[in-house]
Amino acid sequence: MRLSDQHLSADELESLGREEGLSGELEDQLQQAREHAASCPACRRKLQVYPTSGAKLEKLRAFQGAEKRPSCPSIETWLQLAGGLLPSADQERYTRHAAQCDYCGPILQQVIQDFSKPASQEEEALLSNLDQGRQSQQRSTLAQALGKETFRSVKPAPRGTKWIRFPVWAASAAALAVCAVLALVVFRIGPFNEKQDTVASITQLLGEAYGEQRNTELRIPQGIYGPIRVSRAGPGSQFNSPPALLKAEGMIAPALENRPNDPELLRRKAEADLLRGNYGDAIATLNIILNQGNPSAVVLQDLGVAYFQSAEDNGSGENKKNDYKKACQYLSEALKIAPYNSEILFNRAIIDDKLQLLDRSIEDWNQFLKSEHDPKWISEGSKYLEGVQGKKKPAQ
Amino acid sequence: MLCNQLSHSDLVQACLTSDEEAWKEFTDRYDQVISLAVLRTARRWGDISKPLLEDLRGDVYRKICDNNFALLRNFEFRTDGSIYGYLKKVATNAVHDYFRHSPPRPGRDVPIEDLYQSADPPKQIRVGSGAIERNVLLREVEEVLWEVTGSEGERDRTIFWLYYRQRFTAEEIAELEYLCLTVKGVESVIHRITNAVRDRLSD
Repeated sequence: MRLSDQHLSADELESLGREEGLSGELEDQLQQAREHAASCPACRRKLQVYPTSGAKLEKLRAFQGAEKRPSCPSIETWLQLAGGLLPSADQERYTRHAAQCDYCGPILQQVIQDFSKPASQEEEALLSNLDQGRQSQQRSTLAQALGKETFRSVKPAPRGTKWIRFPVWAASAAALAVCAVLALVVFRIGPFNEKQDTVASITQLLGEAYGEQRNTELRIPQGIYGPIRVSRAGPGSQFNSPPALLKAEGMIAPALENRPNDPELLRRKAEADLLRGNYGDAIATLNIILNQGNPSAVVLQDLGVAYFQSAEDNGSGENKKNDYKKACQYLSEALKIAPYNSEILFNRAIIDDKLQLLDRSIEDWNQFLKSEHDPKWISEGSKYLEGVQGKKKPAQ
Repeated sequence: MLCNQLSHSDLVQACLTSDEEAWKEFTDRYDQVISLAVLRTARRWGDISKPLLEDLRGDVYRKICDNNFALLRNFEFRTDGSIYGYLKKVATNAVHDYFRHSPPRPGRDVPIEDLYQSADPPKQIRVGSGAIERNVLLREVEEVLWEVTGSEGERDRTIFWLYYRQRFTAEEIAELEYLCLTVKGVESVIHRITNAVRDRLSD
């Protein structure tokens, strides 16, 4: 029951100001409030100006384009605040600053939105599309970096974490990320370390040997840039061999004695053979790896190089063309696994040119130039591209 | 105990012992968080092409694994769930680092903070009589706020300013951990303070 001299409360001012339609007991209470306002000058005046107080609050909004002041923290602070990573006292201090700073307030708000809002449908679709092509490429890229042929697959991710409402893409995302992390973890630490060190050393030596005495236009996996020195494939003399190649072969042989079926060692042996121009031996070794199943992009890349060397050695005729075609087929298979691998793109672009597939050669060169970071390879690729584009122009 | 039953801190500890099952669980739990942070940050830089997003996500995992998992080893759990905020921060910083060190493109030399300025059009003006009027209003409201909240009402005043000056929603305010308020709690504070302030402003 309202007392006769009881002034309007803030809630009553709010309700009367909105002139909401209410019913029952609330309407009875408001009716009593109206009757009081009618007889109380102070409350009547307050009721009249109440809407303007709302307008005043609207004018408090921060303006855009405020400038950063010396006391304004960096983005790192806002990331830590939004992530709940600061002690409570610091959270309070920085939040207080953001609340009254027109430069920092919007930043904190945007960071909180980035960290806390559930994924929109558009975002879910983007991330879902991301993972469809990524798994194979990531596996191949990581396998190359770590000298590992394949990764174990893992079970799909369970659903339901905080604001997560992702559908199927989450499963493949988690599986693929597991592969990435497992590869990095397992092969940095633990029982694989010693073997990995050997393979890594051999890989480095072969890369150096390739650069020192590059005997083919095509690129072997992780080959360091070097100009072409020997244009004709064929067995090289031990005495003319780069020291790095001799050293690599010195490591491969005993390692293979201990592990004769190890695909990583077998592949390195094949690459050493390619550097000597022994493409026949290389093909035989690489076929052993193929028969083990699940060939990786790098094995297919090596097969491409081997058949290319065979084609180059074959003079002319149908055999030459068939070897180029085989090389091209293996490289195309490799690109299905690793579509942005600049080495494989480089190699296929060259063979496409040999096979007069000029349009695809140009496509491969353009993609290569987007993917490659080494300026020396970029320079060489650019020259090749110019050559192919020149062939496409009609004769004057 | 199965890895999916471990607390966040226990899971991270298990990962640091190179437990493969723990790492599987790690990616099960956190990859979604990392991926979305990468996407949202890359979008601020204006490039969310598929190959780039793929690379950026890989970068985040590489950073986590670098230097014998230093990022995880050095992380201190303030709360068990703080790993989520930490990984979001790591992912966000990884993307910022990438774009800052990329080949220069138009707009790439802007301060990172500018990427987070709100896109909403302002209703306030910065200069002239409008700015003066606003400053007067700010002082007036600040005085009223102190009257209605008292010397112990720092939290309520902060909530008020976040809501009215910075236009935070109640949900966004509730995300601020130190407030220890639900969305309903924030709305209740806003309602109470607003009525009190408007009452005073109407005097």
